Amino acid sequence: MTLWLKSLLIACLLLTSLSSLSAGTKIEEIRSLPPGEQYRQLSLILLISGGADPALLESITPRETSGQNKADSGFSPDDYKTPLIRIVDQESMLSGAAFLLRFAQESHDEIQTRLAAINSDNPVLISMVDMSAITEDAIIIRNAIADAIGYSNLANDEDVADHLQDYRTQTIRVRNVMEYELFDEELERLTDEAILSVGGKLDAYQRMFEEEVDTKEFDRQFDAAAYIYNRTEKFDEKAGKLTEEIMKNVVLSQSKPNKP
Amino acid sequence: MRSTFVIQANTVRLLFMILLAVAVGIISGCAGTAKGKDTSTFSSRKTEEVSKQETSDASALVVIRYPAMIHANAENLYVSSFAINAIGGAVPYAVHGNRQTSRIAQSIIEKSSYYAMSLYRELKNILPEGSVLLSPHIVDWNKERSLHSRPILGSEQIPSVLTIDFNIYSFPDVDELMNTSPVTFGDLVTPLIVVKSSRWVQPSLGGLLVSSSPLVNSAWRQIRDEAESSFKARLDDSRPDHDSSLGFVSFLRERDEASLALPLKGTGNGSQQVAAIEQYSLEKIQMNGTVISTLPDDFSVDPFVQSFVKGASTRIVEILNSIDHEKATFFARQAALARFDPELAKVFFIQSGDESVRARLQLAEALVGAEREFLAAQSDSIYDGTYSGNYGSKMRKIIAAEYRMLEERRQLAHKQNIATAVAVVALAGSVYGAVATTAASSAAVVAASGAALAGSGWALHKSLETKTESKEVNRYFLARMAPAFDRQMSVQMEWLESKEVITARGFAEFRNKTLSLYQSRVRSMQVSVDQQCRFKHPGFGDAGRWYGVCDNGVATGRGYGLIMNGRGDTVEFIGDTQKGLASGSGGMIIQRSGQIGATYYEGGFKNGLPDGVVRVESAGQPPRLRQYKTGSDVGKGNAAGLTSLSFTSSSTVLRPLTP
Repeated sequence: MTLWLKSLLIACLLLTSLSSLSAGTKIEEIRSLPPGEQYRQLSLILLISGGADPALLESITPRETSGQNKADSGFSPDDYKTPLIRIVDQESMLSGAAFLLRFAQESHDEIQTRLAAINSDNPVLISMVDMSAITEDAIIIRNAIADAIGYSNLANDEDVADHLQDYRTQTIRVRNVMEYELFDEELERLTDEAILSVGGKLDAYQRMFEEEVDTKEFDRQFDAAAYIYNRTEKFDEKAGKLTEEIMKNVVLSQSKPNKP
Repeated sequence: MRSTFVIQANTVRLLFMILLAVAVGIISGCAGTAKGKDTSTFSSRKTEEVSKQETSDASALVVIRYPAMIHANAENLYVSSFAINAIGGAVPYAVHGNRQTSRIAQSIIEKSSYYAMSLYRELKNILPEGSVLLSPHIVDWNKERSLHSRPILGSEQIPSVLTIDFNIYSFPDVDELMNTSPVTFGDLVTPLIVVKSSRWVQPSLGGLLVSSSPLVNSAWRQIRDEAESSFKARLDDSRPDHDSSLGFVSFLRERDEASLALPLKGTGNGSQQVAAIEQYSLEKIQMNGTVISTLPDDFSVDPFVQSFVKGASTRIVEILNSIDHEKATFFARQAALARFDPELAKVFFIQSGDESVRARLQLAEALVGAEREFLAAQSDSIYDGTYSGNYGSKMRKIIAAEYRMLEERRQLAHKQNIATAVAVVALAGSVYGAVATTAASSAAVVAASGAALAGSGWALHKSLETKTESKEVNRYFLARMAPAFDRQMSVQMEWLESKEVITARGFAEFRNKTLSLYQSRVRSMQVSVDQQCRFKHPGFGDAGRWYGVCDNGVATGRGYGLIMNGRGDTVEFIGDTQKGLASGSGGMIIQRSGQIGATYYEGGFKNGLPDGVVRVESAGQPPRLRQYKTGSDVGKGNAAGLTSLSFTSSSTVLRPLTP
């Protein structure tokens, strides 16, 4: 399966599961899940909704029919029985996304409070949650949502296109920050290791000193300088002889022997 | 006939008495009581909290530079420069070659290392963790640079808001020890400092903020040379090769340089607004003697902290609170990036908010931040070794012994008679010359013996008694200040006391590892800058270089521009441009060759000239707000209309990933 299909599959599965959170359920329904799963889902919602401009949200929200939001009424897991339906039903995808983003926007504070509460109640459990995995899922879903908007006619509107671009940039940012965290962890490990080698002693200082100062090259430089500047009485005489010798060698090596 | 003899005898006696009185007067006049000030001028300052400013994680707040070692090849020149450029008076030529002079010169390096630790500890306690770094220097010599110093660690490669050059000072002539000359001996300390920041913090004075009076001229010349060298390097696309010597070393290197009419101000609050170099007067500080006498057993109280360091640290905090940290580290951060990511370093000037730039900058700054952390740990180790370790313990014994001797001499000096006065001089010499009997110390002993013959056995006795003690002291002095480099090396080895197996190859290896990590993670950027882009100025022509957004080969957008004309006059600009000329908001430094101080304009620009409300800073004057119209000053400016130059790059702010 291509990555694209895979992304869509995950996206739709998530949207499907979240679609069950329609009006009246929301956080209460998530509360019934185990704490780890609650934390995962709520984190995912926040990560997916980041960078979604209200104007973008407005443009993808389906027009109300019979006084009810379509996403609210018709968005159910049954609509996603097969991957094929999920792939081809862009309208449902969009309405699911609209619901999800609106839910995240309206319940932002409530979600944050719930996350903090789960964290304080289950610190060990939450410390074991793999945030990178959640972020990876979030990136796939964000791309799926953005693609769904892009494939629809909505993207022809310049304003929507701009907001969509912002949303995509935010997705790249989420990826970059995730990669940064991995980099930072590794960097911290290297730094700690290096600091440990300093270990309250002066090893590093000593090494620096030896590498910088106590080198043969360094001493040779000074010897050469000392030789030039502290000339002995016979310096010129010796230098003259040496130059003469070098010149003779050069002349001999460069000249061609006379052919008889 | 008899009466004539009586008269003559009386006259001779009278003359003898007069001569004796004059002699005593002269000698006891020379033998003062070696007094100093109880506290530094900085001590009157009110302590203030360190304000929280947004600073890049890569940057340190303070780097303390100090002399820690000397290479054998630099010793002769260092000692002769020390005697020639004496602070506090001229030194007789005969003293130049004395062994004591050499020892005093060495003691400056040794004691600077020790006292610098007090400043380090105090600032470390006040400022955020890992934000204070030590940069020990080795004094060196080579043909191109003559006497110079260079850092042993990599601390100066880390961007820092402030750089403090610290050392103590002692007058070279040991015979002046008891007089008013600046001295660091026993309970007396004469600190010298130079505090610098980025050129953009105080553009009119090249970022030179505070300087001890004797060093101010050489510090200014050094800053100018450094700026010129960095301009040339930037224009030639070469590596800057400026001299990073300590302020004290560059002062010693100079010979008969002209004294400059630099704008100076005192350490008081009254004139703080004026763009001038804060002058720290030479002061001989007398620390608490009671504390010093107990130092070898109990060093929980550091007397140098109370008398100088606390006040000086307060002043440093005031300076840190008064300056924009982003502005102070902007160019140093760019230089740090250029070391391992030249492409990013060029884009840095644009201050782009593009995600690809932000992400790369975040990685790069984390890398420099890790180096800062490592160097902070190294600084801690140096502190442990120098202050808490064997070296510190021996130094405290020396200081306490010196203090006891000074106290003896102070008491002797109060006796005011010829024998004790001569003995005082003898003792002063013996401190530095007891172990290896030198001509000077032998002469002093002879003089003391002469005094004893004149009738004061007590003075001689005290002299010899104390001299025995000074032998012990000098054994330490010799161990610390051995003239041979291999001896210095063994001294360093003594410091280390480490038997650990070396598990890492120090900073260089750490840097290699982190750099490999960086290269494996880094992604391409969507923003780039033209290699050759022109920057123009109406008065300086169009031969300038631009590092920033470019269109058709000329500056168009944000970035940094530089022009240097044939006379050596320079224009530097950071901000927005159009058609190669400064247009929009920005900051411009104009420095005319041969002129002291530059002129700085910050605010609006149009066609390369100040336009709109502009803040103008000139050396020796308070900054002023003026209204400009196409380069002409048309009156007073309104603060509300000023667009200040921002150095903050939003790209460096890390937003948490976790919800």
